[in-house]
Amino acid sequence: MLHEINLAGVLLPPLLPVVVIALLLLVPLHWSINRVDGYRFFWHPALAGFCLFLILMALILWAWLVWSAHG
Amino acid sequence: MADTAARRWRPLLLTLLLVVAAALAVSYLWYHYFDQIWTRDARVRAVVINVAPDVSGAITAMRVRDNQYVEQGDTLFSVDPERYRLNLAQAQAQLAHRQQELKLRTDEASRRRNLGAAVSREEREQAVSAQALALTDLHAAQAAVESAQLDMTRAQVASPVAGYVTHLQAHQGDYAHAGEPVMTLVDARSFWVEAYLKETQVHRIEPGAKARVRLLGMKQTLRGEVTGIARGIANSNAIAGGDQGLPSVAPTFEWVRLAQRIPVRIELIDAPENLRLAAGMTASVEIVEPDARR
Repeated sequence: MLHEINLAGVLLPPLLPVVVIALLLLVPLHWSINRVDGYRFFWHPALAGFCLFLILMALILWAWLVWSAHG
Repeated sequence: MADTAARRWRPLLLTLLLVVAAALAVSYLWYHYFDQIWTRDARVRAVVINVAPDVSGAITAMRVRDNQYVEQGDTLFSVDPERYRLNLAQAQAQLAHRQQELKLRTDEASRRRNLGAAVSREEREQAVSAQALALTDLHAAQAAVESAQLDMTRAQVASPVAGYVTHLQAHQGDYAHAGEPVMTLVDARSFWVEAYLKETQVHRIEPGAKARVRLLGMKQTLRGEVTGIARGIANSNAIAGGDQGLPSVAPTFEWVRLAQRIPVRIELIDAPENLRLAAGMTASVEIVEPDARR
C-alpha cells in the first residue's frame, strides 16, 4: 500500500520518491539512447523522452505496490 | 519507393506507440494514486477518561506513576478521609439518637394506648404521630450513615477502566476538588484509527470494508475494518460568530475548491500484542474496495 515517506523527520507524499527515482533512471536511459542515436527512430525526441519518463514512473509505482503487497 | 515511405512513417508510428504506452502508464498512475481510496492523513485515537474524585480533600497517597498500566478497579489515589470519617461518626451518633428516640416514642404511644380513657383521644393520636415521625427521622439518619460510608469509600479513587495513566500532574499533597479531573487515563482496549478521507471518495466506502493501516515508522501493515463513517463535520460558514449569534459566512470561492475530509473510523483487527499505540500517532490508511478493478 502507499504510505508516507519519512526522510529525516520530514514526511513526504509517496509520489515524490517515485518521481525522483524515475528521473534518476531516466538520465542513464536517455544517455544510452543518445549514444546509439536511438532517437532518430522517433518523431519528436523530447516527446519520446517524456513518454519514457511517464512509463518509468508507472513501473516504479507498480514495483512499489507489488513489493509492499508481498512484504 | 515503398522503402522511403516506410522510413518516413516509421518514426511517427513508433512515437505514437510510445505515446499510447505512456497514456496507459498515466492511467495506471492515476488509478493507483488518485482514484484509490487512501490517505496519509489518519490518526490513532483512543478513549480518554478524565478521572475526578467524588469527594474533595488533599491527596494523601498517589498509588500510580505516570504512564503506568492499571487494571479496572485498581486504586489510583486516596483523598484524605479524616473529615469523612468524622462525618460518618457523626451520622452514626445521629442514628443511635434516632433509634433511642423511636424507642421512646414507641413506648409512649403504647403506654397512652393502654391507659384507655384516662388520657384524651387527642393525646393518644399525638403520641402515635410522634412515633411515626420518629420512624421517618430514623430512616433519614440511616440514609445519612450510608451516605457518609459512601464518602469514605469514594475517598479511595479506583480506575474505571483498564488503561494507561497519562500526563500525570497531580501528586501527594495536592488538593483534589470533587468533580475536577485529577488525572487522565487512556483506555487500553479502545484504540482505533481515524482516517480523514476526501468527501469525493467517502460515498464509495461502506462500514465493514477492509482497510490496511500503516503507522508512521512501522514496516508492518496492519489490518483493519471500517466500523463507522462520521455524519457531521464543523462547517466554518455556520459557526455562530460574536454578532448576535449570526453565522459569519466566509467569502465565496472562485475557481478552486478543496474537498472536505470526513473522518472514517477503523478498528484494528489482530493487532500484534507488542504493538505500542499512542493516541495521536500518524498513520496511512488504504480502504480495500470489494469490487476493486485491478
